[in-house]
Amino acid sequence: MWMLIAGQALANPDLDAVVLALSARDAVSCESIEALTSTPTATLVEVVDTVQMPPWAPMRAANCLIERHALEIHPQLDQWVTDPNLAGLNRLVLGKLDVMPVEIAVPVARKALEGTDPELARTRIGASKVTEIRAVVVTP
Amino acid sequence: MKHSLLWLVLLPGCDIFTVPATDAGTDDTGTTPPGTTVYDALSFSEEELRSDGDGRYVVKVDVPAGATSFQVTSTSPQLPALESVTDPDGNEILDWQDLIQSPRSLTNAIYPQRTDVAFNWPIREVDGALKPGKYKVEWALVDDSFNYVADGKVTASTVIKRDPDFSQGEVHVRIVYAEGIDQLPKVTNAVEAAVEHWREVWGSVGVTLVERYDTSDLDASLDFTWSGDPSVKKIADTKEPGELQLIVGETVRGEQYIYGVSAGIPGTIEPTKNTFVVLAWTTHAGPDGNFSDNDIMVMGETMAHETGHYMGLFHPVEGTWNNWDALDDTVECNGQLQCNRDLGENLMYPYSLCGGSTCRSQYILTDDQGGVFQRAVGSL
Repeated sequence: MWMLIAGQALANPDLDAVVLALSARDAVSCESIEALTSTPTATLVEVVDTVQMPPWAPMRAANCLIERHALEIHPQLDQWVTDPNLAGLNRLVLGKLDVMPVEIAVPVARKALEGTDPELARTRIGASKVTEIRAVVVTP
Repeated sequence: MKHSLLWLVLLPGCDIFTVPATDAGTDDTGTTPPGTTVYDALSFSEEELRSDGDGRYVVKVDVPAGATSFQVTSTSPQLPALESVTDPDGNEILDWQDLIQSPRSLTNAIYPQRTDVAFNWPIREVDGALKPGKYKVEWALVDDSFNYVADGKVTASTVIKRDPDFSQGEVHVRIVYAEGIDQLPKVTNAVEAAVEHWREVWGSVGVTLVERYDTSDLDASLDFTWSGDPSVKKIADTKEPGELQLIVGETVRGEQYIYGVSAGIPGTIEPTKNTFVVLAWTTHAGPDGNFSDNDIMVMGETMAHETGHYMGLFHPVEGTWNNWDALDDTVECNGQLQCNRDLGENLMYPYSLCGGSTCRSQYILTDDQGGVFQRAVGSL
């Protein structure tokens, strides 16, 4: 019933299945999540924006977006590292800089230094294994 | 190496839970008698073995009268996997081929997944009581490609429990913060509040959670989660002999989409590279990075769920809806709707069922699930 309520409130027909998969207690691969929807990027963004519980559902959705669609969600990434109400997503992005294409990771890293937790950003960016990303803390 | 109570008392850093002599307590009520510790119920032994030419080895467990359950842990550079168990009368009471073909899960010891693998017996009430005498626990040793390994080195550790009361028990858990986590009050406050919910959930089947907190220099990304690590053993070497170990980090293996992992079903209570349940705080705090009351509730249920795996519990149904646990009183449902209805509030359900900003509390444990808890050697 709870899942049905969640489904009725949302227009995206794939959302129920994606949210259920993201709510699993065992880790689910991004590939299998995305196989449940014909619009993976839009659906996963919708999950991040609208689903609150369980807390790992939007976090897993954001993780898949970062790992597989970073170039498509540049505006969201900028928001996640600067919005004070998204401190958890900020940590997620800062922990994933190295898996993003460098052309998106560098500007997002710069944005994070102006964000809500510049000290954390400086530490995480400085620990990057990618020279171009690490350079952001030297030449912002 | 033989363990003994004296040896344990002399261990530096050991804080044995001794019951003051003034406390009332009797054997037959299941409470700990004065002047003893809950760990008196456990006896430990260890032997070095080598696999034979076929990659097999046998651990003989000499069960004394009064013993009620045992755990065998195999530790090797290779991958151990349980093959069979034979009771003192010579009856084969468990065979890996039966288990692997069954849609009902009883133990993951049959799978060569880690270098430290534990097996509990008995697991359920229907498995019967232990008989005095020698049990033969046969194992295989395989490599990463699942080829049998001849003449491979194995350390076999056996823990035997004497605890006649399977209706009540204490489970001692050491909650270890990875490096720096103890400096985050919003996290430690949330963890402590979540533990209270965990205590309530386990209490419903007569299990009393006895927790203590510790810090460590383990990296908060918990990169060791899939394969274990000597750094975990080093921490586990200082735990109490019967304690479980829950490690709280920022992420699980650097991935914020995993919220918790048990290193086995069941996990070992021996100090090894794989003696842990791990929990990621960021995954529970969610996008805003803060803990709501609902976040705390589900984190407490994650603690109870993952340590439930460590004690030997499986999901009552897997997310494929065609595999179940091997317990009689967890409904054998088919399909999402039926399973959500019949099992959605069970602690071990494989999905969280949420709507809006709340989730259904998953707090129910059946009598048979409680029986698995009570038989585990970690329940004293």
